Amino acid sequence: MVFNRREFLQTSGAGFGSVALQWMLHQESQGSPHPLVHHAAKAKQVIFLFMEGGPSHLDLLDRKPLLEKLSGQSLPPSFKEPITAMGEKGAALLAAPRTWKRHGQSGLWASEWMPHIATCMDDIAVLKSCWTNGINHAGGVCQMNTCINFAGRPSLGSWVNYGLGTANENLPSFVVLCDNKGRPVNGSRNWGSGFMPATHQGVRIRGGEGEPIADLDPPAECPEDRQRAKLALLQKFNYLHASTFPQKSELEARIRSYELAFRMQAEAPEAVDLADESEATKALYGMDHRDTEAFGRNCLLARRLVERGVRFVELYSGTGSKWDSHTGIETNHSRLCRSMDKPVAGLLKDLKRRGLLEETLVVWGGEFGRTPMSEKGDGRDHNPTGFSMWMAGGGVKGGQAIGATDELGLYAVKDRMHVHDIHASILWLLGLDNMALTYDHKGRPERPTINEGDFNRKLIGA
Amino acid sequence: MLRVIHLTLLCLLVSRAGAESWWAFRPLKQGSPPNLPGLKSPVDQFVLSRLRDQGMTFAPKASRETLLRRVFVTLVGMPPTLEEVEDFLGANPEGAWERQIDALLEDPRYGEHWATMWLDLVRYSDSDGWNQDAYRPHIWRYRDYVVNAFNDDKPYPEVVREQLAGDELDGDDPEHLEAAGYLRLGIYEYNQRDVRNLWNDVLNEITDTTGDVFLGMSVACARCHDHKFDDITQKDYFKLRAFFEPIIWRDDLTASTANEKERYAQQMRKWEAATKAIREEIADLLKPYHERKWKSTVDKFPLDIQACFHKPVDERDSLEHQMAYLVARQFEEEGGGPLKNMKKEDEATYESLKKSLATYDKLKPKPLPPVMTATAFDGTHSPTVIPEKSEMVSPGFLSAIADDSSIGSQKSRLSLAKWIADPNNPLTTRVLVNRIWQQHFGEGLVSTASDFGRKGQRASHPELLDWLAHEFVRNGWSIKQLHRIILRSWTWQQSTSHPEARDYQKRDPEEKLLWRARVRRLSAEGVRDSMLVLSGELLDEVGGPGVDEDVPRRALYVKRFRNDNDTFLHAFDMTPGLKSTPQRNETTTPTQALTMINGDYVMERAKAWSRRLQDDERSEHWLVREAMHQAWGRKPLPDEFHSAMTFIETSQGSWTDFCHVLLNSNEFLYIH
Repeated sequence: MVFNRREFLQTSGAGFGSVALQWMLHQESQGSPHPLVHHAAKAKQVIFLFMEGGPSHLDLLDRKPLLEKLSGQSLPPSFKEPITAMGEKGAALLAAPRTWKRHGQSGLWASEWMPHIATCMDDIAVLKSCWTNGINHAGGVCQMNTCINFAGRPSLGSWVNYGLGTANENLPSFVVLCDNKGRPVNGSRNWGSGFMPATHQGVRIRGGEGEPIADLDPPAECPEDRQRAKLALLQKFNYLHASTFPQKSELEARIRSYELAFRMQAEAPEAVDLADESEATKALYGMDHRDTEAFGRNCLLARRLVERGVRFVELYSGTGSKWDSHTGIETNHSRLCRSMDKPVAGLLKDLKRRGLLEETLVVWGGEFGRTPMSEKGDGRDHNPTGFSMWMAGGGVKGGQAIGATDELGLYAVKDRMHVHDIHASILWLLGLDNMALTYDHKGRPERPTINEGDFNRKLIGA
Repeated sequence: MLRVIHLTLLCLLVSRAGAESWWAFRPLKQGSPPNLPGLKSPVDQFVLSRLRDQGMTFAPKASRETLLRRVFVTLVGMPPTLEEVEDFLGANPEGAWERQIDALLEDPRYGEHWATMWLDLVRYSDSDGWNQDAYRPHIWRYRDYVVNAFNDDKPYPEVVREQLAGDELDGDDPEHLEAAGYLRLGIYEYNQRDVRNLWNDVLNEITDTTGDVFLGMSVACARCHDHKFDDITQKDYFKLRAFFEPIIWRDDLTASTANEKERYAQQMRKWEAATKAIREEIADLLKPYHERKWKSTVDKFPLDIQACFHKPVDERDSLEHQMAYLVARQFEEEGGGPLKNMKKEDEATYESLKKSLATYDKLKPKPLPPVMTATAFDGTHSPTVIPEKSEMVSPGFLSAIADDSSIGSQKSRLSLAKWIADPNNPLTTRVLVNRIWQQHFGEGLVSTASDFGRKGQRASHPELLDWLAHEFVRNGWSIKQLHRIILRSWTWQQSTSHPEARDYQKRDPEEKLLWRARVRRLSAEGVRDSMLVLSGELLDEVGGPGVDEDVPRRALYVKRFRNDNDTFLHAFDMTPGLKSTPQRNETTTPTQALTMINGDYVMERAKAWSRRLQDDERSEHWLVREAMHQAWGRKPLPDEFHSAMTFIETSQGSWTDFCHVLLNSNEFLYIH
C-alpha cells in the first residue's frame, strides 16, 4: 500500500485512542512504547495544571524587592508602558505583601501562598521568563493551548495524541478535567483538534457523581441485557454490511468503535472511582477539606489516568477565569492558592513515591501573569510580557530557576521563553521534535509550534 | 534563527530548480475527449481511456435503488422516502434518470445541501468566536444568500462579485449587501483594546481565506516570507490584502431597495415628528449615563487609538475610521452597556417614558431587514505596508498569473472579483469544478481541493479537469449543468463493487483511476437530517434565522457557535467554522458510538420513528420489513430479516430498540 501510516491514521484512526489502525501500528512496533518518537523520550505523559485567569507571578514565585520599594509610585520612565487589557493609564505600582522564603537544598524562592508546593521546590524548575502574545483571556488561553492566540489550530494535547498515539485504547488519550461545573474561557475549543481529525481532540471527564464521559452510560430505560441484545443485533447487521464492502476499512473501524465504547463503559468508571484509594492518599491531596476537595480530586484522578496510559491530562484550576484578579487580589489569590496548593503538592509527592514522576511531566501555569502596576487600587491587570510557570518530573532537573524578568517583573528579559518554546520543550521531553512533527494541511506542513520555538536545554540541566 | 536562514536558502534552491511555470498557473488546455466508440458521456471517454491504458475497465452500473439513494444524498443531502423510491422505480425507465436529476435540482433542498460546501469554505458561523462567542443575529442572511445562489444556479462570476464586492455593485439589489457579508465572517473579540492588532489579524485572515476559497491556493505562508514552494511572493500576499485594506464594517445598513428605504424614511419622519418631545426627554435623561460610558469606554484604549476616535470623520483615513468603529462597538457591547447601574428613580422615569413612546408604535414603520456587511471607506484609503520591510504596496494580483496592467485605476475589490471570475484565470474554474467533483466522488480530481500549488496533489485526470472547466464556462458558468454532465456518466453511476477488485486494488490502491464508486459516510448534517426524515419530525421550512439544536429543522439552520465543539453535529465532523475547510474529515470514533447508542438525541428520534411506524396496525413481519426498507432504502436480505425477527420476538416487541439499532447501523450511515 502506498499510503503513509501517519496519514492513514489521520482519517481512519477510529478513536480517542484509535481503533483498528493504531492497534495495527501498536502491534507492528511492539517493544517500543513510543513508536513514533524522534529521539529518546524523557517523559511518557503530561499533566498540565492550568491556572485559568492568570496567577500573579509577583506574588508566588518571582520576588521583586524593587516593587516593595516603589509601591505607590508610578512606573519609572525607564520601563515602557505596555498596552493593558483594562487600559488603566498611569496606575501606581502595587507591592506584593508576601512572606518570602527560600526552600529546599536549592533555595528557590516561594511565597507563603504556596506552602505545600514550596516543599517540592527541589523537584521543580521555575521558568521565570515566560511571555505570550494575547493581552486578553481568550487569546491567552487559546495560545497556551494551541500555541497561537487566534482560534483554529490543534491543541498541544492533540499534537501529543497525534504524535504518540495511545497507550490504552479503552480510555481517551487526551483528557480534560475542570474544578467546577463551569466552562473555561473559549469552551471546548481549547482542547479541540483544529484542522486535525476529531480523533485527536480532548475529552472532558467529570469526577464525582454522574457519568465521567458524556453519554458513557446506556439510557436509564435500557438495562444492560437489552443494551447487549441491541449491540449484538447491530454488530450482526454491520458485519454483514462490512463483508459486502471490504474496501471500506471505516466500516470495520465502526464495528470496533462500538466494542471500544462498550469496554470504555467498563473501564472509565473504574479509572475515576476513588473507592480503592486510601484515606491517607486522599488526605495527601487535600480531599478531606472543603477548600481543597475539588482540585484535590482532579489531581488524584490525573494520577489514576496517567497510570492507566492516558497521555495528556489537562486540569483547569479556577475554571472560568477565576484567577483573574483585577480587583482584590489579596482575597482572590489567597482563596485560589489555597484550593490548588495542597492538591498539587500532593500530586507531586504521590507521583514521586510511586516512581511515576520520572516519566510524568507536570506543568504548572496560567495563560499569563499579572502587572506590577495596580488596577482599581488593589488588583492587577494581565501581564503577557513576563510571567512564571514551572515544570517538574519527566526528565526535568528540579531545584533551578530559568530566566528572569526585569526588576519589576513586567517584561521577561533573560532567557525568554515564548509559548512556542514552552510547547517545544514539552514535546521534546516526550521524544517529539517540534520541527519534525508535521501534519500536511492545505499545502503546508503544519507544525505544533508554527515553525518557531526551541527546546530550552536548561530544563534537563544541560 | 539559523534554522530559518537554512530553510530560506533551501527554498530558494527549490524554487530555482522548479522555475518553469506550474501546471495550475498555465492556461486551460482546449482538449476534446478521446473518441471511444459507444460512449456518450465525454466524462466516461476521459476516464475509460485512462483505465484502458492500464488494461482496466469500469465496474458495472449500480442498481437503480442504489443509484437513487446515492443521487438523493448527493444532491439534496438526505435519502429518498419509500414513496420517492416507488415513484422512481415505477416510472417509465426511458428518461427517468434525467427527469429525477432535474427534479432534484429544482428541489429547494438542493440549495440547502450544497450551501454547506460553500459555508465550510468561507468558515461560516453564527457567532463571534473568541471568548464571548456572541450570536450574530443577522448573518443568516448571508447563509440564505448562499442557499439561494445554488437554487437559482446563479452564474459563478456573479457569486464572486457579490461576495467580494457586493457593496461596490450598481443597482440596489438587496442581495448584494447580504452577499458582502462574506467580508464579515471572520472572528471578532468584543473586549479587545489592542484593536490595531485585532484589525491586522482580521485583514490577514480574510486574505488567507480569499486565497483558499476562490483561488485554491494557500497564500498564508507568504505573509511572513516568499512562499517556499509556490510562486507567491510576500509582496503578492500584501497586494491581495491591499484590496481589503479600506474595508469598514457596517451594522447600520439594510437589505432593501431604494424605494423601500424611501417609504421607510417617509413614515419614520412622521413618527419622529410625533415623538420629538418624548425622545428629547429620554435623551436628556440618558445623557449623563452615556457620557460616563463613553468616557470609560474610550479611556481604556491606547492613546493613539483614542486619537482616531476623537478625530472628525472627514479627517480620518480608512484605518482610523475602522479603529473608531471598533472603539464605538465597545460602548454598547462591553461591560454591560451604558445603562448598567442606573439610579432607581431614573430607571422608573425611563420605563414610563418608554411606555409613552410605545403608544406611538403604530406610526412606526416596520424595520428594514438589517444586514451584517461591509463597505469601502469613502475617503482616504490607508496604505498596506509589508511589516518589517516598511514597503508600501498597492492592490494587485498574483504575479505568477497576471500582471497588474489589467487592474485599471479603480483598484477596488470589484476589480479583484473580475480578475478572479475571468474565464482566463487558470485557477478559478479548475478549482470550482474540482470542488463540485469532490462532492460527487468523495475526492477531487485534484485531491487537495484548496491547494493547487506544488505541495498539493497533481490532477489525476488533468485533461478531464480542463474539459469540465471549459464546459462549465461554455454553459454560462452553470453548476446545475455541471451536475447533469457528471450524473449522466457511467463513471458516476458505477457500482462500488468490481469483479476485478482484488487485482485492481493492487494496481491502483487509492482508486484514483475511478474504476468503481466509493462507499461514503453521511455528513454530520446528513446523519441528523436523515434521522428526522425517518422519524417524520423534519419541519419543511426554508431559510430564516438560526434555530436551537432541538428544533427539528435541517441541520443547516441550527445555530453554529464557534466555541461549542462538542455537539452531536461536531461528533460527526462538522467544521468549527474557524478556518476555510475544503474537505471534511471522516472520522470514526467511540464518541460517535456513545452518542449514537447512549445519547438522548438518537433515542428520541428512534421513539418518534417507532410511534410513526406503529400507526399502521400491521403484522410484526410487515413492520420489520418496512422499518428496514425505510432505513436502508432496500428490502432486508433473508439473514438480516431473520435476525431482526428474532430480536423483536425475544425483546417482546421493543420497536423503539429495533429502530434505534437501525439508526446506528452502517447501512443507514453510509451510502454506496
